[in-house]
Amino acid sequence: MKNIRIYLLLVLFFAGVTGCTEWLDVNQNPNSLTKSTKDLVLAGAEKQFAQRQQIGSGFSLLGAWIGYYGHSGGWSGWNNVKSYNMTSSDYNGFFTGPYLGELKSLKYVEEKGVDDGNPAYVAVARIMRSALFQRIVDTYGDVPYFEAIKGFEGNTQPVYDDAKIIYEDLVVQLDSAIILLKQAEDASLLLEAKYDFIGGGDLTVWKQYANTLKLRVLLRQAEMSDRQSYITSNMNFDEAGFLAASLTANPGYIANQNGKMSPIYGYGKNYKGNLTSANQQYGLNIFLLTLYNESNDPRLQLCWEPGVSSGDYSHGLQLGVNGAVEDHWKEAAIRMGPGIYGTSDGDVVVMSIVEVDFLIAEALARGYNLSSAGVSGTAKDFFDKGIEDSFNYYAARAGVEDVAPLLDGYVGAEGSLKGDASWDDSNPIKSIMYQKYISGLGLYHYETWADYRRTGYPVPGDPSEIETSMISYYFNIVRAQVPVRMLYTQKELDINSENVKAAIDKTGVPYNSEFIMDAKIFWDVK
Amino acid sequence: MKKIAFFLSILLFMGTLVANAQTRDVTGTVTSTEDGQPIPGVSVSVKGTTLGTITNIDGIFELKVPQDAKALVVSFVGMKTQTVELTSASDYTIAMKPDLVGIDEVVVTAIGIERSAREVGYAMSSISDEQLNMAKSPTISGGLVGKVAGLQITTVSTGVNPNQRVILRGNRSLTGNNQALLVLDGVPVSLSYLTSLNPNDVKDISILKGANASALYGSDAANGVIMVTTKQGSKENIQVQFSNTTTFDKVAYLPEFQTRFGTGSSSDKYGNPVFEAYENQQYGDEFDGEMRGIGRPDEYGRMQEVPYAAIPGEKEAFFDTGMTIQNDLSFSAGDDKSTFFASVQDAIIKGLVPGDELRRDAIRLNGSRKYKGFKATGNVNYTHTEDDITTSNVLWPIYNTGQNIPLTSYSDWRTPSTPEKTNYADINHYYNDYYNNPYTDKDKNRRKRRRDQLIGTITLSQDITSWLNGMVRSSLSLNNSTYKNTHEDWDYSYWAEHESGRSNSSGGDKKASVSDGSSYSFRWTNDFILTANNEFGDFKLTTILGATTRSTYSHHINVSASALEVPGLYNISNRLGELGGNQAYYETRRMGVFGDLTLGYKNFLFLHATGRNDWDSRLDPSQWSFFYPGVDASFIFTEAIPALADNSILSYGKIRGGIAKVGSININPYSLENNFGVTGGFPYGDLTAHSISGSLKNRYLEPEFTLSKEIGLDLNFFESRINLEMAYYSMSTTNQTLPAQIPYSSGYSSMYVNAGEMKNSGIEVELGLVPVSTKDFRWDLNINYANWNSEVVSLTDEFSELYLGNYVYAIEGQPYPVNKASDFDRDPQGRIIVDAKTGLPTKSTDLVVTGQTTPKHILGLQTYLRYKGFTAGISAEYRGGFVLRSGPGRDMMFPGISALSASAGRERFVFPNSVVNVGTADNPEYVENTNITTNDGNVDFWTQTYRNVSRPFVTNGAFWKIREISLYYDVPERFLTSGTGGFVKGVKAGFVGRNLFMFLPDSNMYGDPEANNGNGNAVGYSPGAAIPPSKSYGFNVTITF
Repeated sequence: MKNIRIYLLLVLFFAGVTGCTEWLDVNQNPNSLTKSTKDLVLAGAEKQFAQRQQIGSGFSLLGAWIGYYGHSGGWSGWNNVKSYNMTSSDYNGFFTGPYLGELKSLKYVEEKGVDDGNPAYVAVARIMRSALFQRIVDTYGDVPYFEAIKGFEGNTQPVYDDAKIIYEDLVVQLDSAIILLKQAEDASLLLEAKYDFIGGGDLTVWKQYANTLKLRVLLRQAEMSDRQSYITSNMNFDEAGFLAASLTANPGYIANQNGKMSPIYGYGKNYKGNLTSANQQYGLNIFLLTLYNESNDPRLQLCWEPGVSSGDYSHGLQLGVNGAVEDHWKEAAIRMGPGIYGTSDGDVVVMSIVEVDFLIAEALARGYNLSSAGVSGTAKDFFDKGIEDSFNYYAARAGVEDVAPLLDGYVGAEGSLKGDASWDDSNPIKSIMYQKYISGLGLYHYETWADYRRTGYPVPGDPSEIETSMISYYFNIVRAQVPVRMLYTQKELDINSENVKAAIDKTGVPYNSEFIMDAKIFWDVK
Repeated sequence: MKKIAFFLSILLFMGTLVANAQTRDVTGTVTSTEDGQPIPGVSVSVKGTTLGTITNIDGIFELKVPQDAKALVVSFVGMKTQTVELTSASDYTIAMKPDLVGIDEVVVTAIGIERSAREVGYAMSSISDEQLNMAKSPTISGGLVGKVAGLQITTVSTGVNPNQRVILRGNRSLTGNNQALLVLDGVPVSLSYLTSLNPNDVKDISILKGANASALYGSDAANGVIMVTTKQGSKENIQVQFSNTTTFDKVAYLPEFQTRFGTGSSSDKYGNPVFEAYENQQYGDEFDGEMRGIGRPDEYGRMQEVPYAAIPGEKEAFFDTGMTIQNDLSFSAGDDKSTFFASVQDAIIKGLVPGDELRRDAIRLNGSRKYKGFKATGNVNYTHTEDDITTSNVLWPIYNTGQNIPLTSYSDWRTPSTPEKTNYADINHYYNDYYNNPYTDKDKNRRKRRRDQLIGTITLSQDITSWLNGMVRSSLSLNNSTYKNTHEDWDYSYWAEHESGRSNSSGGDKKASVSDGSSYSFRWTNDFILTANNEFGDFKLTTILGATTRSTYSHHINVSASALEVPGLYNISNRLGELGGNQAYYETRRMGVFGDLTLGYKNFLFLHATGRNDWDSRLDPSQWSFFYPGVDASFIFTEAIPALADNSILSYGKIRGGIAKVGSININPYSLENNFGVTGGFPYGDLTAHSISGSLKNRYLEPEFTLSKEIGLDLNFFESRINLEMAYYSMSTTNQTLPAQIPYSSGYSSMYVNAGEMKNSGIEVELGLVPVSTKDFRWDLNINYANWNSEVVSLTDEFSELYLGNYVYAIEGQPYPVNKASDFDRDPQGRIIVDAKTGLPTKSTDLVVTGQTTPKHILGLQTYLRYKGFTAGISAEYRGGFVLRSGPGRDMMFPGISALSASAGRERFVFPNSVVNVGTADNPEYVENTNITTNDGNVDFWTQTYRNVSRPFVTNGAFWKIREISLYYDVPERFLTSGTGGFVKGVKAGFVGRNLFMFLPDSNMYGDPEANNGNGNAVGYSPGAAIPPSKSYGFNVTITF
């Protein structure tokens, strides 16, 4: 009897041990996916990419720095923005966002495109990657490029590549993307339109976007006298030409649905239709207001709503002025209107036709030959078209149907266009930059910051000119000029320090110093 | 209930058959050598068998013994166990000696194995029911604080549902779990039961401090084990006990507030503070006692007017007096073959925040039954808890309420305003433009939760031969909880929304929202253990072989609706827009086989060796098997060395030592494979999208290993009048699982690696003194002290610093963990440098290490005084040698309510102990600043310049707390006998108080340093959002029938 008990127990025990491998094998993840497809990853990348083009990390920061808005009184914070005094932990999203986000996804899409033999996926991945890297370089100068996103392959210490060499590679990448797109067309290998909601599966649109990006990359260097032959020799474009309409994206934003709405709408209202605190905190900057007023620009009314207490458009804010000053009190501030933030299920603008117009206008004004892209007309033609497209954009968002009278009152027979923003044959670049500046509100703050750095327009004025200046009037201000780049992020300084140090050494600024914010990007020669 | 009844019937069915063989009768009387009085309840058994009985009230026993029986074993708690040789005589007189030393006391060690204390070669402390429940803490963890050397219990959250972090011997793992393992009646269970089990059910608690002690529980026991044994029925008559404890809680230990300045947020152009009637910040002008309007004029043109003066005690008065009412009823019974214990507890806790409430009901049934060599034990515990608490952080809007504002007059915010009478508490008229009425916030945002917890264990053991016992145990732990978070709608009047200009209401109405969740967890543990006892002359060998399996499964699901159409119906069917939600499943399995060998020589030298192999599903099959061994020894030199035996000073001395290695896995399930997540915002209709997760996984992760060594010395003088136990340990944990941070430019934020080492050592001293012991008066004094030293020896090759959260870090060469904070720029002497023009200090670029955040020293003191029927007890604790970053300290700067923000009278001032650079930037020369004042002394200085630097909010964390005070009176039995005819056997009543006093160093002006944000390793930050700490006091009555 006793023995039977022992044997029984031992049999049970060993049965348990021998069955253990199967019994223990329960570590398959029931909560997250371990496999995906290039289409699904492309869709995710496109959403993040599109959002970064219009808003990104710079919408509020750069919007304040370049004189679109100020911070109204009654709200604390923003001291680093007002004082131009960032630390390496501030606004890291310029860097971490793309590297950790869609750049990694696009690498996956590109690799899967190669594996599956579909060059269209490879091409769109390269185009979006080039657009992202142009801005990363514009923000930081030298950055990891050739060795970036290789953590999976074991490279956790990516080298920082020279900004100019990256820029040259962007042109190569964009050209190669167009060749790949043609190959895809020839082989009838397309993108799934459902997942490619930026291009809608239309490869011609992608070719146009690649052409336009190439133009943007080249024009960024246009003020560099030693780059003229390089630029001229690369001013050749695919016959698809430049974007003929705004490139937009909408994965299917849902109106008034928390977390599902068009991201730019969040700067105006929340999903319940209430004003967000962002909208209460940001008010029209006195600098932009002055430009509006100079030419009686109706975009003031299209984009902005009158102050609550004044009921009019009289109180512009200067960045950094103490909120206790009456004009800067939150109730006096001119608030963003739907012309800026649109509708809650509206599109995100990847690249606005307004920006395309002014890019072409600038290239023509500088005498570059765009005939390969099928461009005909003068710089002034595209300058005018830019203004018209800008009016149309804001009017559509603000729900104003009849744009013609507004436009006529600005540039037509009744026109009141004056001053810096009007066409000046002797300095067309200045005119283009001023109009591009006014038209950039809510659309491409980042481009405005870059144009300001490379051309010096618009002229910011002195901070002491409290009624008109773009420069912050903050009491504890660190520098009396808009920073021209961001600090390298703290994490790179901490754990990729050898490579960051090499990049910082090239600028001549001491390691880990905020003065790198004054060190110019290679194309910033003014 | 049906199930419980069924279970009970099984217990009762287990027969009452008695062995019947060739027997003879023996009788005897057991007396005490101390006073010669007979002792009732003494266990008398036939050696080598399970036959036995207990003595009756007159100390007399009768027992049928087999003809071949050789001896009787006589044992009783507190007495030395005796073996009495059987002769032909049939009547025996046995005198028992008191066991003052306790070395023959049976202690429960790993896996529920009972061993004699003398055998144990590692550090172990015991806490009795009486010590634990001295001040009737409603939780077990609360009753343990300060009573065991080496045990650190840190408050994580206050309120009706407290949470604690429980650490033995400091931290071992850099990023993994360092909390002790809780073992309930031999079965590992979730540590959360320390706050939900009924403390009155506890018979005793054994604490196995090191990894040495616990190799047999496997991985989890690397952090030490808290073994809770619940009451079994006593082998006495039926006993029924009723107890009521009622305590009251008062909010206490709030930080210091300023009382000089009213509402305002700016200065005029001359730098003078400006009063603002509807401001949350308190940077207005100085109080003058005059009547002033607050808020905004309402739609009827009226405005609330109050004196412009601070209202003392108004913030404290927001909080209610909390109340805890515990009613306990227990029933215990037993005879020599069976035991039975049942208890019911009902606890109602009303929180400090008005309206917060918790009710807990618990039932326990423990029973056992012997039949020949067979024994069955069953324990069931069921706990049902319901709570209803606010989810709004009440302290923050309270800090943002001016000192001149009559806060407590705004409690009735639901009464609507009328043209005749404005209710300034309602949502349309509350004075504050930016922050809501805290009463409204707390009422509108609530969580209701229900939780059912069930633990059931069945143990069956069988003596297979006279020396071999087999045991099977199966234990199930189920935890099911559901919650509903509700956020009431905000329906502002037209005036408030469009005309008042109030920031709060001009955002517009807010719809109600709801989220519902449920969480289910299941843990099933099975043990199979063979125990062999062999004796060879002077040698005694105990061999244990075992196998164990454990499976866990949990499922969490949450659904939410962010907007509800009709107010008042909190159901997702009432929603607008899409349903939100998420779910997660986790399943783990593990098994282990182990062996445990104890070799004793002449009852004074013991060698003990253990070995275990584990298999764990969380690792890859190539890594999931790992082995770890341990050895220890104990030597009772007072018995081994004849010269020391029976000396009158040193009654007992033991030296012990051990070394053990324990493997542990500090990763969650599913941590080996890279994965994709759904890209934020998706799905949009029929379109979804994926992104690649930010952390790089590592398929071949290995366990972490802790190697721990310890030595100890136990000395007992003058028959337990002085009892000293000392231990020194040192541990090293290597091969840690680290989420190594990698540069974002690699595409990932972290990568799992096995690297790094942490060292850890310390001493523990427990000293028990009985300075006075007479018939009527006894004074006990227990002192425990522990000291911890830790060092992060290495991290990975690439980096020497690891951020743990809450501003604390693991840094190579530093203790673990340390706080780092931004500081002001300082000269080489450490004085703060101010700008020669602005008088303002500047923030330094780099963070500085300010100190370790876990105590380096803890000293606990307990004293008990007994005089006749009176018992008084005090328990106190000191913690020191650490810093704390005060969340409230910094939080209170923003609204300007902290005393510090008013310390310079809100005027420009010379920054204390500051210097200016009179040299150049490259060649600095610092001279003391005596006359350069800050360019601002009001809102800009305090909320920006000062608040942007965190060093000022890092404070010395040291404190003394009087944890518990109690005074009881036991009504003498003779009164009860005469008063109730013996129906009532005992009445005990007394006063209890907890956390009544706290003493802080002057440098800490931020209040109670004990609160911690979260129960992870990153301790050292007290969140601003906590419910404030409290003092509690009350009474207890216990009646025994």
